[in-house]
Amino acid sequence: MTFGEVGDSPGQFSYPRCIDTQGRFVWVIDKLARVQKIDPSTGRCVGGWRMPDWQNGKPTGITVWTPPAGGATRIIVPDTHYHRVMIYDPDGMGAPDDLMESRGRLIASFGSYGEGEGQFIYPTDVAVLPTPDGAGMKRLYVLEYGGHDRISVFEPAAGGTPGDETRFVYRFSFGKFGSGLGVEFNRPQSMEIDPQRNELIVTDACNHRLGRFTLDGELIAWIGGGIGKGVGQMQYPYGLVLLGGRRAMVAEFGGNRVQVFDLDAGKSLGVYGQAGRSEGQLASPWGVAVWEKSVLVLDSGNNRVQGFSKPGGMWSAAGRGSGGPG
Amino acid sequence: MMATSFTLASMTVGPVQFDMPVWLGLIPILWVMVILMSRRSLAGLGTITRWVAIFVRLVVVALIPAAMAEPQWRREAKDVAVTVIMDSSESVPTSKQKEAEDFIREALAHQDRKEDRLGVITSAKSAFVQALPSKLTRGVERQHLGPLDGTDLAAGVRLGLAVKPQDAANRMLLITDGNQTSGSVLQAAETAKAMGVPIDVLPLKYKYSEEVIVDRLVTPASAREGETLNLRVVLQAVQPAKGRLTILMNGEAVDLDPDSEGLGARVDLKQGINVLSVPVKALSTGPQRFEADFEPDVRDGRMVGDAVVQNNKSLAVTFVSGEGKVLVITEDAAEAQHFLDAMSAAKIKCDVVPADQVPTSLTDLNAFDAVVLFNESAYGFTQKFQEDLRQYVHDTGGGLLMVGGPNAFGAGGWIGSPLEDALPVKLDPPQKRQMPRGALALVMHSVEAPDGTFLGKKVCEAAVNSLSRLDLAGIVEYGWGGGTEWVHKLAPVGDGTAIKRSIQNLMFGDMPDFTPSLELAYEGLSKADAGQRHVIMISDGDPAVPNTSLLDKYVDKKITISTVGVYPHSGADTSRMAYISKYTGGRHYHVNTAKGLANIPQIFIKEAQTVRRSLIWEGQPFLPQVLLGGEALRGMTSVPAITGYVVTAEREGLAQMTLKGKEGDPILAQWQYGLGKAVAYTSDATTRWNTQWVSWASYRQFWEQHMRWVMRPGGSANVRVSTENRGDQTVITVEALDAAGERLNFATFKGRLALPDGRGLDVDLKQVGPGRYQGVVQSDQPGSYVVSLRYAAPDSTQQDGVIEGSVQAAVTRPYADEYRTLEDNTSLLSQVAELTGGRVLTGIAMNEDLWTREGLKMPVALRAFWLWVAIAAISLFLLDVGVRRVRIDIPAMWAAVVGGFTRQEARKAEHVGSLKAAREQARAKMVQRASGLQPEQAVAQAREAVRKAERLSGVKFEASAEQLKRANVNIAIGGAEARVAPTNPPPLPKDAAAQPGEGMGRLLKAKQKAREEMGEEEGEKQ
Repeated sequence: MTFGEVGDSPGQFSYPRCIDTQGRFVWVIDKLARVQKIDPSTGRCVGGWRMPDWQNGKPTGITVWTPPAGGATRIIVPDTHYHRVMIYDPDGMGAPDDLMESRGRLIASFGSYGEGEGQFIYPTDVAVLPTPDGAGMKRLYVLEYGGHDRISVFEPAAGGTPGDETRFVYRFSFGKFGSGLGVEFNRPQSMEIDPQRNELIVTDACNHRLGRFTLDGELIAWIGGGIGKGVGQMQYPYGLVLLGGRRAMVAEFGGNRVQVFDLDAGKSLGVYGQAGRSEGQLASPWGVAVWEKSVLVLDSGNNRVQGFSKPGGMWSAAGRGSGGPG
Repeated sequence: MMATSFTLASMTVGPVQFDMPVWLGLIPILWVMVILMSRRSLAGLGTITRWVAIFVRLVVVALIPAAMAEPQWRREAKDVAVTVIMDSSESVPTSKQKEAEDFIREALAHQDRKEDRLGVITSAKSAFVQALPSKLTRGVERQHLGPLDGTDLAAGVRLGLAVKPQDAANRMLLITDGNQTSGSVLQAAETAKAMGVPIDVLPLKYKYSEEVIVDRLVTPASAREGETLNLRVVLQAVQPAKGRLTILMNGEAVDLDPDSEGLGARVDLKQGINVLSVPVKALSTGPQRFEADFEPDVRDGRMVGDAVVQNNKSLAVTFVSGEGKVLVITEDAAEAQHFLDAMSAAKIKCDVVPADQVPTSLTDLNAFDAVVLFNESAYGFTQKFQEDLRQYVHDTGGGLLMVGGPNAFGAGGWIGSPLEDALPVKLDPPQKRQMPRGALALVMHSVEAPDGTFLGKKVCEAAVNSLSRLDLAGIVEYGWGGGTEWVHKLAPVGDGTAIKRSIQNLMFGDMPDFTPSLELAYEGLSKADAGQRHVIMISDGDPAVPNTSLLDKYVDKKITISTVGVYPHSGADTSRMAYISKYTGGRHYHVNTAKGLANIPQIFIKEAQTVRRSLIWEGQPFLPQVLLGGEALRGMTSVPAITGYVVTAEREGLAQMTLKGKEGDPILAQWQYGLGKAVAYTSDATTRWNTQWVSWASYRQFWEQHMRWVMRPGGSANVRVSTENRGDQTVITVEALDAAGERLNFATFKGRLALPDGRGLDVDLKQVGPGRYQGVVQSDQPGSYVVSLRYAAPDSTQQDGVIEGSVQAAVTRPYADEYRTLEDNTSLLSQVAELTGGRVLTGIAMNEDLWTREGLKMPVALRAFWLWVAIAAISLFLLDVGVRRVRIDIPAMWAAVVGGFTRQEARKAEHVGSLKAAREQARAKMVQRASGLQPEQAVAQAREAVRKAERLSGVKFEASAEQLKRANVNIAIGGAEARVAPTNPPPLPKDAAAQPGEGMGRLLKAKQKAREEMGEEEGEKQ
């Protein structure tokens, strides 16, 4: 399955850079700063909006989150070049023909430029830890790079309604810029939470590795055999999605392929793809997501999304109906 | 029902098309032959077998001609693609363009088949694809990036044909007012017709009922200082109109009516042509720029009597001759003081300006008879000025003097510049010179600004062009195919061909991290044998920063990094890039405006100059050698010593070197370049390298002689030039009088016309009357043209005397024809529709189906499959053989499969045994009956017995049986082992021994042998 093509009409892309899924739909943001909701079965856009500011740069991440116990879905956009996190209500999206004019229904925004608490340089992805009852957000993890690479942790302010959080309080952060074996990042690009194991999985793009952390920021392990094209090696892992059976799939921006890792063993389970323009080939993939029985790879350089079927249940997603890489 | 069509060229049967259907005619003939032949050859087969065999043969002989008929599988397209060509030029009123956009949007809403496609092309002066034909395109929006002051509809149609999809039927929709300023849409429509693409048209109809056009401003092309010029303004009004006319002279308004307030004059225009005369006195020399501007009266915020403002202005230029002057460009007037004093003493008027205040047009440059570049770097000037300056010398006859210094010539980045062509020296040092060279690595990141990729390539070329051929240059970029790499390895520039090829292939990948690129650049540069090593990095600043240890390595090796931040995402990006530059001793440039973007090539030239410092020679004083023949050096046999100069190379051809330095390097050279002259002095004119020169007695004489040699000659004749625009052409008329006021006859003119786009054209003038000369030139571009004429005529007052001189004039095309149109041209559009089989749409989207199939031939994708037909024929032929020659014993085969290999062997032996038994039985019967039968009958019975044996055995294995007999093989029958002893084994035939088991031939021979054997036995018994 393939959908998307270059262009500025709804359903077309101008270098899309992040993807996530919501039920039978996917959400994609491209370099026109358009947040599009697309039906992969038809390839048509069903709605969306344009980010309010885009001259400085466009978002490189998107997270779709629905409380596990049910409730309103939220579209969380780390607005990378405006140093903030924006939370939208998808019910307020514009019609496809109004995509460029619509600004969506923004329900919360926080963050500013800087290296202080609650500030960001370039936020790239957001991961949500639900409350134990699944009714709302317990924590919001925000990933950033720009020389002050770290993960900041926020919690909803007291008095908020679970499932409708709009105000957040900075709690703590962990990580610093670097390439060492400690909690050091060099352009961390995407992040996921494994709810079964209470782990945070992070792609550390310019160090060409995957990191496993506890939810309190302690390093469990680094995974990856350094930069390269070999199995187990990575070249700029940008996209990340968790599969069933403690497996994680990364989209390698530099390697033009996707690779599946066993998170416990720290080993590669296989790679797929090669650089190219034909079907099945990839050009600078930025993201990857699980959609129904397929894996969707955001083939950014080819302005399309390619879907691959899940062979033998290998890709069965583990308790994750939404959320995705940035 | 199966569709069938037939033409001489092809035949279609259902989904199959035969390209050579004539071969199909063989089928009935072959069928008759097969049936006739099969009656005899298949007579021995059983009824069913025979009919099966006949059927198979008929199919085989049908398939062979079918394969030869070149069958192709047809797949007909179902979709229709409509490419909209939208006229975005300024002649179309904005309201009409909005109507067109609404029309398309509404048509999309009423689209029947959602799989049909829509593409969008905008066309003005040139055409651009806005959206390729796609089912996702939702409408047209004007996003035309190119100039809008022209219409080339043909370019739009041609582009539409180029991008039309092959797997859909195509239509085009031309939305325009039908007014084109270039190209021929009818010619393009012919092409569309030939390609089977109908063009529907949607005329954007309008007619200006109120409009005023300033048709032209007529001024004399040339005049003398102090003369009163009679300006004529020609205005065209559709209806009587009132307004204010303003005349500007060199940007300042002329007071047309001293009695009224304001500087303009109120005018009442009658319907039709209005001519107004305005006298103006020429108070200064050089080009005088005039502008006539009409402002209509405004009532209730609306213009009265006028609709289009772009055509309310007209320009004209008059060249006013007077005493010549020189433009001296220097950044430090004090440094040039000795030189300026010399000019002053020689009574040569000079205007002294820094590089950022030079004239911005070629016309303004022509106010000067020569231009002096005093130790000036190339990066101080725009590319346009450099081109103007080259054109100023070559096409308008101006003079050029480049005076050296550490910032001049090759050391100043002039290598590869447009001006290099005008200089009498080569800026690249000769290969024989052993000089330290520079090494430059360009690190390229994606530039997200509009036209970023194009710009990136231009800056790379600018940087590489300014290097000498001995310098090393390389390019590092992030390619999507696998990370950071040298797209051009660090290597000598040479003639630049190889690196420019690499530049054209640049992809400007989105680099995640600076480190790998800078590591790669470091690795290359640190090993390079070069005196100066430098990196220029262009980026939007968001890749991850390099670590300090890498930057320390740069510092250790004295490799500098300059960074160019293009539209950086934030202040953080800027500060990071600036940090990298500062750390390594380079410079940082911040580019976040369109103007800044345009200057990036200059930045790269300046940066590339960093590696060109090695072109400067400095050392002990030495005396340059004076070479004879230099007209400007007359009277001088020696010059003082110098201590430095910029190394250049002698230019072959007409250039003349007059002072020679170390190893034959030129110090002073001169030549005629086109209509003008140029002098290069590679040392300086100050005390830096010329300590003894400034106190030299002949210093003033040296510079005065060179300046007078290089300056454009004034001339003594009274030559007046007038120009008149006629359509796309301009008629240039020259009236020439000598100093006595007599008409100047038999003059020869050498002229050039400098075009607004930087090109030049020769002007050919012919004498058309006493003292009157005329020529015609093409002038279809809007803008200012400069006509430069050098003349020579016999002087009637002196024996063998010659009158020489030069004169300039200007031609102005104030605005494009785009703004002259007052109504639409629907008739042209109707022609286009009629020619191509398209429709003239009404503009009511509900009534129009843009994607109609009417008049369309759906394209068919053909896939040849003759090979498969041929393979089927061969397979069936083998089956035919099998049917007749081989019987398949399915139970036996099944038993073999089930029983495995051992059982299979046993079964095989059983078969062979049964065959043998049958044969023995047949023979016994033959022998027995032969005794009581006629020989013929005996033979026939024997044959029948053989056939029976064949049927019994199920498989004809005569030859194998014979071989088995002869080989004395052990054969298991019924689980017991029996030895079969051959009876009178005959010798094996030679060919059979040589060719064991050769299929059909072997079987036939074995069969023949058996029959002969049986015949012999019968003979013996008889």
